[in-house]
Amino acid sequence: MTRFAPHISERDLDMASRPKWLNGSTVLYAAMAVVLLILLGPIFRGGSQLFLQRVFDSLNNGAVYAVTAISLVLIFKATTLINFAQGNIAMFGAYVCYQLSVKMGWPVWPSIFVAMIVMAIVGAAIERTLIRPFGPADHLPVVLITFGLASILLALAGAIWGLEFLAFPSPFPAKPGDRFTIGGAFFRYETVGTLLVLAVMLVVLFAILGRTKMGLAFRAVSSNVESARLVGVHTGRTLQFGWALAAALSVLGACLVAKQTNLEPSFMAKLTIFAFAAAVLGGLDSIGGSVIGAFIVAVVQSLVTGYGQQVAGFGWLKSNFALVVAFALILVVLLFKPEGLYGTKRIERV
Amino acid sequence: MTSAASTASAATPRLTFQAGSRQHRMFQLAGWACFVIPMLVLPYVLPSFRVAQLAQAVGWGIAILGMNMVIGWSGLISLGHIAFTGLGAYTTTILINESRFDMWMTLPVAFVVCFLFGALVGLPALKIRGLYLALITLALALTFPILIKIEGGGIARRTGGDNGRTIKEGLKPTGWMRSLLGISGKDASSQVAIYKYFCMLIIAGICFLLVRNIMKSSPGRGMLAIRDNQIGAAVSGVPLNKHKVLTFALSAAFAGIGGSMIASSLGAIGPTLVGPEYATLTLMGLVLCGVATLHGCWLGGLAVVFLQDLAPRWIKAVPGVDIDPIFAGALFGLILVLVPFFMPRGIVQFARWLKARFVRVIPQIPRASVV
Repeated sequence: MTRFAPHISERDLDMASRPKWLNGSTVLYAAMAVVLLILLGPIFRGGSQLFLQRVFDSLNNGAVYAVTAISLVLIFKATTLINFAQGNIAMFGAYVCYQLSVKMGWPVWPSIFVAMIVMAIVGAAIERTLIRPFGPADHLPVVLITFGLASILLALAGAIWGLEFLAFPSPFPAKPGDRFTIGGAFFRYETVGTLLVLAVMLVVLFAILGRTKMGLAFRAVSSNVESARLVGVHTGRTLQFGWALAAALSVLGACLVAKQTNLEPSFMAKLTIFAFAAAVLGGLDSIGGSVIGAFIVAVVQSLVTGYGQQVAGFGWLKSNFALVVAFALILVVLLFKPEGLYGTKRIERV
Repeated sequence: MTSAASTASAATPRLTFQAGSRQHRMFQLAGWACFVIPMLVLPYVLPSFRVAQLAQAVGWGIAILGMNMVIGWSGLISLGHIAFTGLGAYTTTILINESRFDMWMTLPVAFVVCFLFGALVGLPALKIRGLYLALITLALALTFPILIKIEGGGIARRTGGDNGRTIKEGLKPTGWMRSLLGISGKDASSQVAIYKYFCMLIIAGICFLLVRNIMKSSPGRGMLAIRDNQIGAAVSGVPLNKHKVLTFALSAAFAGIGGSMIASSLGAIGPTLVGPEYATLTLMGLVLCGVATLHGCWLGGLAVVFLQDLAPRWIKAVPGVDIDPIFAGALFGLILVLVPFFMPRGIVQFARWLKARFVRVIPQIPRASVV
């Protein structure tokens, strides 16, 4: 995978006489438009209140997908690796938080914070011991190791905390009456809280990446590893920082969603696939893009599972079909616009 | 191979053979006998449920062989071949149950069906490389168990949904086969188990030979060239796109045959057998026993079936540890993590390296060819 001359767009090099409007983005938007068009009938029949409700419900998911997707993006940006264990690192962190808050009686927010720090240390340790020995171009060992780590963490969490569903304390007011009404649809305080956390997290993240020396080093490494090393950036330590940051963020995401899904060793599995879909849609190396991608994925998921059943011939659609939608989305994006909506285009020879 | 040769010359091997000499051939024959004799004798010695497990292991071995074509020989990372294995298994089950097919007749159908679906999924492999392909195939592995439970179009009815389906008319030995295998005196269940085992062995042998020949043919060498240096391969005239799709489709077809074998040796198929747990297990079997080696698949199949059976007991047997045996999954994960560090090419390569320390084969000097 070679990156060169980023100022030359692929269009300049494209020898095929393809019309200019027919590119990846058009296909992507057309696919989304087709899905919306199919759903248009039931949406109209359902009325505006139901539609608003579906959209509001999806915002919470969107924020959680965004946090998880950013943790994937951070690692991909720096190393062009995909961490298949990210979801289970987050799951383990949520269990640590459960241990602190429910078993030991700590308040929720401090225990989330401590869990984030614990998993950040674990993430840094994983990078140092398991990932760094292999070169970034050697993909197979890293896939195997992160895949293996995922099942180790899964079994470990099950062995320590059991396989049954555990109730997780809510970080926000979540009583049935904690909501306000917009256009007849309920907007829950939980959703507001999750969105606020996402906003704060983005501000902090951009501050770390944009204003600190470590952030500068991180951006240098993700832009070009060799050049960064030549100018004296300690690349190993920087990547370790990236892994720690990613682990902490994914734990935050897991703690935000654990109240709604309840805690169970595989509770992050589906969510991670949606986060993957979000990151791929937004561009695997774009933080802002993956946030937008996350909200698109969440809204599409909510609309397809909410309205899909009413479309003629689709009565068999169930909520777990959302995973198929995510898969289709990943497939379409990678086929027609592999860099995603806001990612950096990579030009490959051959 | 080059590394093996260099270590051989560095160490002092105890045995030296001239390639092609009588001693060398005897040595090779002895090596083969070490594998073939247990293969033929074990089913008569073991209890019938172990023989049934052996038959399943052979099926998983072929599924792993299919995975190996993609992961090992063409360097495309696919985590989703379990979906093709499942497709093959369900094709066989449904054809036997609903269309009254003979088990042997379902194999070509499963091959073709999985080949076509493999080509379809392989098309993205032209544009998607490395980890993106791993991502998309992982999503395939996760969605396949959901897809077979869809209630529209009679899919769930045919596949049995969550409960899976048993095969009504499985393989049964007829009279002359019983006397040929020498199992007439045994009880019915072990007769069926032994017969199934030998059927699986025959199918696996055919698949093995096919894959070996494919790997030695032009597309096979093209695959290796693409894996080692894509640009170089393109420059040398290897049609990249054609070979990539062909590899993916063929590997899916063999994974599907493996699935057919698993279904018919087990006599049933269900969604857990084609779910993400087995994606991890087959991946473990593949990397533990040998990426890019032909013979690794046999051991890989054994690892998938028997580690899963034995690991919980081993965990129980460790004194002072009180963990529920279902957490043997940690062991499989541990294997996946440790193998890249200590045995990057798996057990088979390790065994070759070990052999090279003791045995040295002097290659034959090629005869001068007449131009």
